[in-house]
Amino acid sequence: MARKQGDDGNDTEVRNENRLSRRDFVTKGAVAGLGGAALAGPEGRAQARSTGTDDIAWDYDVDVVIAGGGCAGLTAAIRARDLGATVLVVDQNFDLGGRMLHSGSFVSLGGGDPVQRRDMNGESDREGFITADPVEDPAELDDSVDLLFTDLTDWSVLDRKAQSPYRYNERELVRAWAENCPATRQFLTDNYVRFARVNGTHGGGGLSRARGARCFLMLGDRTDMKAGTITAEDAGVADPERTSAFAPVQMTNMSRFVAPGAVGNGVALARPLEFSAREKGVEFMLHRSFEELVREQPVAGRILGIRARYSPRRHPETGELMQSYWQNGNVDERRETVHIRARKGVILASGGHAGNPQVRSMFYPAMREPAFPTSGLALQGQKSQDASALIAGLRVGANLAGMQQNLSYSTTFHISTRLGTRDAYTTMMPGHPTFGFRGSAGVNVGNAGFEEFIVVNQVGQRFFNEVRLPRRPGLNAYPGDGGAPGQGLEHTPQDWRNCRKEWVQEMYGHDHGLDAALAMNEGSEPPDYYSGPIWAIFDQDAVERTGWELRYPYVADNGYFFQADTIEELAEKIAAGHEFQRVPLKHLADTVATWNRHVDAGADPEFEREVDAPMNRIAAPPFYALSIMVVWHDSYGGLRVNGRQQVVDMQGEVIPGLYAGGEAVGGFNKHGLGKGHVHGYIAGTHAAGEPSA
Amino acid sequence: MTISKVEVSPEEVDAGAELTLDIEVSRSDGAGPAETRLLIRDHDGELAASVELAELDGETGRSGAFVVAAPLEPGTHAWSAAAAAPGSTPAPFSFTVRAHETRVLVWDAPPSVECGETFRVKLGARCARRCRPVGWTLEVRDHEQNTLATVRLEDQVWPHTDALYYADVKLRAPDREGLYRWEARATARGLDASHAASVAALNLRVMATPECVLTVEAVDAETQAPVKGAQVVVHPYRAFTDARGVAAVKVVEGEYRVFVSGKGHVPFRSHCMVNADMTIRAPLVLDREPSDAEIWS
Repeated sequence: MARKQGDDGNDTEVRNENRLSRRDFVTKGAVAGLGGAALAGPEGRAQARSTGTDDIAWDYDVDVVIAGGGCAGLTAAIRARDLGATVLVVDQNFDLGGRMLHSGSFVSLGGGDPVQRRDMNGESDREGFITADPVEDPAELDDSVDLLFTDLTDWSVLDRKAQSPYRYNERELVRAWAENCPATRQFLTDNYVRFARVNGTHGGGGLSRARGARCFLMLGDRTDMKAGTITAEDAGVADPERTSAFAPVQMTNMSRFVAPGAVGNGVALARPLEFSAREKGVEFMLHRSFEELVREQPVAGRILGIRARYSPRRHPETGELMQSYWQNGNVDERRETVHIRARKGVILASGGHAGNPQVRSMFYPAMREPAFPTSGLALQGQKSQDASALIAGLRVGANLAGMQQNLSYSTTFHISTRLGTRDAYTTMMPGHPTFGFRGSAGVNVGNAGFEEFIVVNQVGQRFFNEVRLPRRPGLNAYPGDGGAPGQGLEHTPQDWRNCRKEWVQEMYGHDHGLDAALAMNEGSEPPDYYSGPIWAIFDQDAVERTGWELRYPYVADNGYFFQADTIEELAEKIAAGHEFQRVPLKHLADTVATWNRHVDAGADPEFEREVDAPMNRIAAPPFYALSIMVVWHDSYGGLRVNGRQQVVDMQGEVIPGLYAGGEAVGGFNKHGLGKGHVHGYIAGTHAAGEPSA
Repeated sequence: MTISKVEVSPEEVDAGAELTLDIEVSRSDGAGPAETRLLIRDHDGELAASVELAELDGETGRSGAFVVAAPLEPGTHAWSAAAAAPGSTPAPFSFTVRAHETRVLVWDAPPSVECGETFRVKLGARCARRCRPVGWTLEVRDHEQNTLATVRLEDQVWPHTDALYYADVKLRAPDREGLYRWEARATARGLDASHAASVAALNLRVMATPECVLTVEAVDAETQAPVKGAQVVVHPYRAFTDARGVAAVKVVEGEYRVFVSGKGHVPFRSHCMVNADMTIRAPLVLDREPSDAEIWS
């Protein structure tokens, strides 16, 4: 197991004595040539790297070090541990699961995986929880590795934005992924994960077959991962306005896909995996941000380990250090910096770059705007998705892959319909310790709700037809409407007709409202020309038409919701009270007056709203403003890896001892968990099989 | 002792609001015993305030920040500060007083009225400094600036607002069809402080007497159940469906775009020519956005 050395040369207290050796351990690693220019870290601070040192004192020593405890990291950890390796996972957050924990748990695999076969045969799960009939016909589940591989490298498919979701995928990576899908599904099942009936496929998961299934637990009188049960309180279903420390997002009814009493979401995936990992002896160093790789030479030789920095997350109200739900296996390490030696390998699973405005701006300069965060901000914290893997990989010579694919997935960045909260891509409610970082749950007005207001930019001007702002093009997935003329069994992979010009012209269906939201305006100033925040403006009549509940926990006095007697006062309150409002909304009163004239005239000459939906005056006091968020959700560009998840350098050579998976990796335009779990499974397999350094 | 500096903040202040002064003095004149009291006089020489020096260190002294009430009359005001000792030379300083910003609002105006029809609207006024404008006169003028109605504000704050005072007024529509632009304006009387004039638009759509009834039946597209509370917009006419999912809209003959929407439904849209009573069935499709589970896993 991991061995630890204290700052003063004495062993420091550890929580899990049977797993951590108390022997003194100091390694003066043969690390040379760590010289180089100071590089900007994830937070933009300059970090002096060790220069010419050969005396790194390793604070911990394990077989496999994993940066990140999300879907790829936890899977890799369990897999490597199963194969006999000692494993230490570092994670910047206070709890495990990453974004998997408050995901929808939709795991899209395929290739004839065990759950597809189970449903084809009309069978229940091995515990007999599932009594619901299969949702998909057997023919829709009749899959193979070859068909899966073909689907995910299909050059011919375009989406409704006329972009190619599969054309640019790395072929070796996808082939290995497809071959490991069935084994990964079995692996997850063997680690207490229960899959409901297969129902469709996730975006980027192919058009030909149904391959996705969500995870579930059964409501019961105790929360027990081995038994597959959870209490209503822990599941967050006892009170519609509460979540729990166990489940940051309320679990949803899964009876249609399982049986009465089944609930599901990412909790039913992340918590069982975490439980299994802890049970098997994986160790976790939380509040610890992965910072740098240690390589024998700057861009040559083997990866020896990592440097990680203390990143305590404190309770938003009490200021106390937050604690993970389960504690066993935790390494309570609070030194500022530690070096962890990896005798077999390092696996980078610390997520993507959607939370780093400087990095993501290389794809879309307007997204340098810090007002718009990545999803799950409250749960994950400011260091989530901070491009740490990408930055560290580049420092040791890694290559990149699929960076342009960030622009090829319809939910990568979008306008959320949940208004009045900065953390707009989650349904977290009070009850989870990080809700205070969110402050308000927001009001989900849906797409239809956008007809009830006008949307203005940072200077108070409208910029687009509001009802078209939140629309997203369809997903490229079975049985979606992602653009191909044939779907499901009717789909012919790699057929030129899928992207025939005439067909593409016919099916194109993308509104560019998000781009208008991010546009420069007269409040934009150099050098970044930020677009600034955007606001939904409406009146009391809209509240009465819709029944929106403008009260806690949906809205709060946190700078993302304002109410005023007059439009002028509303503009003043926004300017004074919102953290990213840099200029006054000087046009707001005129904009509303003009809008009211348009309503009375029955026509909106600026944006033609009258074509799509009714228009309503904004006249009845009080007046309201809810923030509207542009959300950059996940990442599709990242480190280049081969079929063994080994990171590849700029010369096409493997970097020995370095693996990566999930959103840290590029070249695989597949959304969500299915990608990360299989990457973790492959990486864990091969890292554990490395010779010990 | 001479006044060496008078700091005034803000330089532009609302009538009657707080004005902060900070005065520095020098005592290099060697005058007798220390005089520690300063007198502030307004433009008429009337005493506005007196203050003791808070800091004295030999040759200089300072009052520290203190607050006086700004005058109630707008404009530039020239005041002075001087030591209380007889014969002291006053030091002038100035600042600008502005009238309180006021907003007039008009709401609950019907989307359309028939020629000559009487109707009601709500008028409100709000002072940016939250003055109680009780007794103010609100006036409605037509497109030719004829006064149509006047109403005095009572001590009633509109629900859910902080300081919006309101009144209800009855008006009569013109006898000819058209889109009229009327206005409501406030005349601030009876308050101590000056208030800026404010005007709000009242757009009025005057229609001929409807001949036809357009009945809309809103049903859920999937279940066929009536949808209560859906909004029906047949510009310029508007209505909401009742418990049976039905709204009857009286319209003049003509071609219309009909929207039925709300309550979480995708807007139903239809074009129709209305030249007699007619009924439209509007199957409403629930706005089914992909759930978080579907788009984020």
